[in-house]
Formats: sequence, structure tokens, C-alpha cells
Amino acid sequence: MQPDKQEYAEMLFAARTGLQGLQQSSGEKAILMNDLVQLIKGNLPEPEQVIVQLNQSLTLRRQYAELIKQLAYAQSASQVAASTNDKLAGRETDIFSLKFKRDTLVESQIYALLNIKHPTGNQSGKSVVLFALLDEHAERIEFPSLIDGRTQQLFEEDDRRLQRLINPNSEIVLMP
Amino acid sequence: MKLHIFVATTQGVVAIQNIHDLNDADINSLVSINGTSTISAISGGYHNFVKKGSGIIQREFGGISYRVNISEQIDQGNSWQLAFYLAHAAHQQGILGNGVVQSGDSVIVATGEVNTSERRVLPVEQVPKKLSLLSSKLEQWAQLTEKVHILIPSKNMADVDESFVSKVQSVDLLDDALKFLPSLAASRSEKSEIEIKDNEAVTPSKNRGSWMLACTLLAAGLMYGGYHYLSSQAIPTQQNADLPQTEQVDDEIGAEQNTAPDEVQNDKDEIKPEVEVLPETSVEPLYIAMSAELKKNNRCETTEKIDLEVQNQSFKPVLLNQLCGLNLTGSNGVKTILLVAQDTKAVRILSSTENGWSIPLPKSRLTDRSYYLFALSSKLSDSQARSLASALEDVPAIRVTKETKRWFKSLDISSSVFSHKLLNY
Repeated sequence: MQPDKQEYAEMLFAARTGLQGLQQSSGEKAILMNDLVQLIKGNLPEPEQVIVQLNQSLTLRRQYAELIKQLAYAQSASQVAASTNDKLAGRETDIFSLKFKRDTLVESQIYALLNIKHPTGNQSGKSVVLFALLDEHAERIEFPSLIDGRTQQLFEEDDRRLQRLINPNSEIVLMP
Repeated sequence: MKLHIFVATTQGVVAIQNIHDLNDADINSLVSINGTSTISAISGGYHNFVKKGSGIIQREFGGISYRVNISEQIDQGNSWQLAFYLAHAAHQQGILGNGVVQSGDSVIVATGEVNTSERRVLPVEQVPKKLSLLSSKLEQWAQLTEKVHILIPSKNMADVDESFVSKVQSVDLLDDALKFLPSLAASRSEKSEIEIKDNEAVTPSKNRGSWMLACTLLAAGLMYGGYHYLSSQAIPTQQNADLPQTEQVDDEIGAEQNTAPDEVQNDKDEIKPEVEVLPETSVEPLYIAMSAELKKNNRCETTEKIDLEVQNQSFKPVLLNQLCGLNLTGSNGVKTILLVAQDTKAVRILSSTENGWSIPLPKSRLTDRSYYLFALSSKLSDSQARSLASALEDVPAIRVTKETKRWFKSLDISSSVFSHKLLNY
């Protein structure tokens, strides 16, 4: 039987981690596949340790980003740079759309408006997670659960998460 | 003078600082903390509270979506709803404060969930704890203003500690709570002048001097003319109707439920003390008087007729469980009386009798029933009544009388509006 997406990802990860372990010796606790999966889902009780290791290892970050894409519900690839000059240009795919609007009361605040056409049970009941992948860095952005297929977040203009979402070079990944 | 609205929570009072109409269908209504980008956990619930269908805010106050800023996080539950509803009412009146109470301002602290279909205030949890956390704020506010109201659901009154019983007001319906908004109470006297401008019975004042003279002469005539609109024993005829007298109405009545059908709901006394004066045209004044047939010996087989006192265009409330009949008479100019339910906005042309008009009594007597009565200078057809009902469908309840009067004006029909409430206890 062919392995499913997650199993395949796990196999790859285990192989790479194993090779890494052989090539390096380190006193640090090895990052397990499950650690990254739980980090993606936001379930790690103490994510800081994993994040520190992620930040120290380009290889780990690449694996993390690949895992995110493998577990994704939908993706929006980086935009062609010339396609827009609009700083608040959104994304549109068959599965979701992401728009940005400035608040009329506090102009330094911007809404990120996410619309999911066919949401999963998790997205409707719990929360919605987007990843903005840019330069081997994965920014995790959580939105409240959907109401009528929509959810939104409000950011200060200079919020790093917003900047990554807006950046046309980011790959936006929607988790199930 | 501002009205500051606070939510009583188990962490202390939370101020509703401002409400901003986002006016954007793409953006859901939200609650943010202190104007920052931090969204309250109740944002989703607030969005549902606003939107048509599940909510009430859009239905009653219009708008598309709102952003409300509050001073502290509110984490969960629905007990913020009553305060938020009142804040929207205050915002619509232009009097919502920012939570920083100044001398002479008014304060409302509220806790309660809202049944958005029935416009009822539902009980909530931990009311004693919420009240206990108010003490220091109450002391602080007492230095600045006497006008502090603490509103809790009537079904939570049993939970209230003795020390707080005299300080809190219980509310069962949203309309009960709305009465604590200062502007609604004040505007009843202020708006009488504005209403004169809208009222078809009043001449557009090209010539204010002679108009004022007419007012003065009329007032003098009424005062000294020795009119008695209704005797305490008899219902006046249509021809004899004029200014109502202040009659004592017996409200001390027991408890029994009976039947009768109607369509009216909830009290939102938008009626202002409209003082109509004779215009310079030939349009006759439009006054109505109401009398109630009340049970004798708890049965409707024998009844006692009581004239209902009217004040500021509002007839004295009557207990439903003692009511056998309601009758109206009108001044000579009144050709039709239209009943409009305050909540459902159902419209009904009242049937005329040889002595005037009769008001059909409600089928259900389990809740208070409130309605408007429009005395019209012309006949109205059924199709016109249906057309009015359709026009009122999307009108927020708080604007029903104004929009109805505008509608009549567009048909060149003069109107006077009165209100009445039938009580279920």
C-alpha cells in the first residue's frame, strides 16, 4: 500500500534526521517529526525549545517548511513581483481568498480577511491557521474560527505576521 | 452630558469606550481592547449579535458591521449583551461616553444575556460576584453623579445580596432597560417641538406670528372652556372627544389569564409629548381617548368602564389579566385609527363601532404588549395598510413612529400618534 502524505513526510523526515544525527554530534534533544507536526498544529505545550532549534538550523527550517506544505489544505504560491504595486494586494485561490483592508478609525491597523470556500470541520469549529513561508522562514498566523465561511485578524501595520502575509514573495499555506 | 455604559464582569467593570460603524460588508463586527489590534474573545459572539437573523443590532439600529472598543478583555459568555445593546442605543442617540465619567454624566452598569427574538433579558451567572466588584467604582462615581443605574435580569434578583437590593434595577425586557437612557426620557419633551414641524396638522410656519397666536388662543380656550372629555362613568361619543382628562385608573387588579388575539409586543416608548396645536389650515385636531372595560368579580360578564389617563401621548398602562375590552373615541377630525405593534410592526386598521373604535385584545397575555395608535385625518384602505406594513419591515423598532408619520405625510394624511402598554402582571 502506498504511504499517505503524512506517512511519506514522516519517512523522509526520519531519514534526513537520522542522517543528520550521524553527521553531527550534539547534546541537544533531537527534534522529532511529531514535534514539528504539533508545532504546526499549535499543540506543543512548550514550543520555545523547538523554535530555538529551528532558528539555528537551516536544514530543520527547510524540513519544517516542507512538512507544512505537505500537510497543507491549500496554498497560494508567491506572487509575481510585477503583478501588483498595491501594498495591500490580497490572494485568491480556488479554496480561499485573503484580503487586506485598512481600518477607518485607526489607520495604522489593517484587517486580514480570510474567506474559505469549503472549510474543514476544524476551521469552522476551532481556529484557522495560515503559514507565510518566506526565505526559509515559516510564520504561523492563527485566525479565529470561521463564521459564515469567513474569519479575520486585525494587525498593526508593522506587525511581522502581517508583513509576511502581505509580502507578494511569501507562499501562503492554509492548514486543514 | 454623556452616558457611560459598563459591563459588569467577574473581573470587575469593563467600559464600552466607543462604537465605530465600519460600514463594510467584508469586515465582520469585532470587539477590540482599548483601541489596539488585540481582539476580544467575544468578537465572534458580537458579530452574531449584530447581524440580521441571529442578532438584533443591525435590525434595530441599522448599519452593516461595527467595531466596539472596550477597556478590558471579556473572555467568554453572553452576559455582555445587554450592556452592548444599550451602548448601541446610546451611540445612536449620540450620547455614548468613553468610560471616563465626568461630573453630571450618567452611568449604566449592566449584565444580562439577550433573547434577540423576544427582546427579553435572560438571567446570567455569578451576579453576586459581579455586584460585589462594583463597590469601589460606585463610590467613585457617587462623587461625580447621582445618575448611576445597575441593571440586572429580573430573574437574577433572587441572587442579589440584601446590601445591593436597593441599588439594582431589574429588567425583563430590552424596553425596560432602554428607559434608563436619559436621552429617550428627555427627548419626549424636547421632540414635541420637532414633531410639530413633521406633523401634517401644523402649518409650515411661514407666518410664525399668527401660528403662535393660534396656539395661545387654543390653549386658553381649552383651559377655560370647561371641557370634560370623558366622564368617569361613560365612554364619550366620537363627536364629543376632546382633550382627555386626568382620571384615576384602577390598576390594583389580581392575576388571571384570559385570551384574545393581537399582534403587539414590547415597550419602546418613542412617543413624545407632542402638543398639537390648531394650524392655520382647516385640518381638525386629531385627538383620541381610550377607555378600558375591566372585570368585575374577576369575570368579564360584568365590567367596569374606566377612562385611561393620557400623558405625553401615552395612555396609562392596564393589566391584561383584568381587561375585557378597550375602546377609543376620537375628535371630529379622526377618520381612521391605525394600530401598529411596537415590536412586530404588524399594522391593523381598527374596526369602528357606533361609539368609536375597538381594540382587539391579545391572544397571548404572558408578556407585556405595547403598541402605537395613529389617529388619521383620512380613511385608509386595507391595501394601504399592507403597504405601510411592508414599508416598516426593515425599519428599526426605535424609528417606527417617525417613519410611519413620514409615510402618512407622503400620502397627505395628517396623523397623531399615541402609545399604550398592556401589562402581564
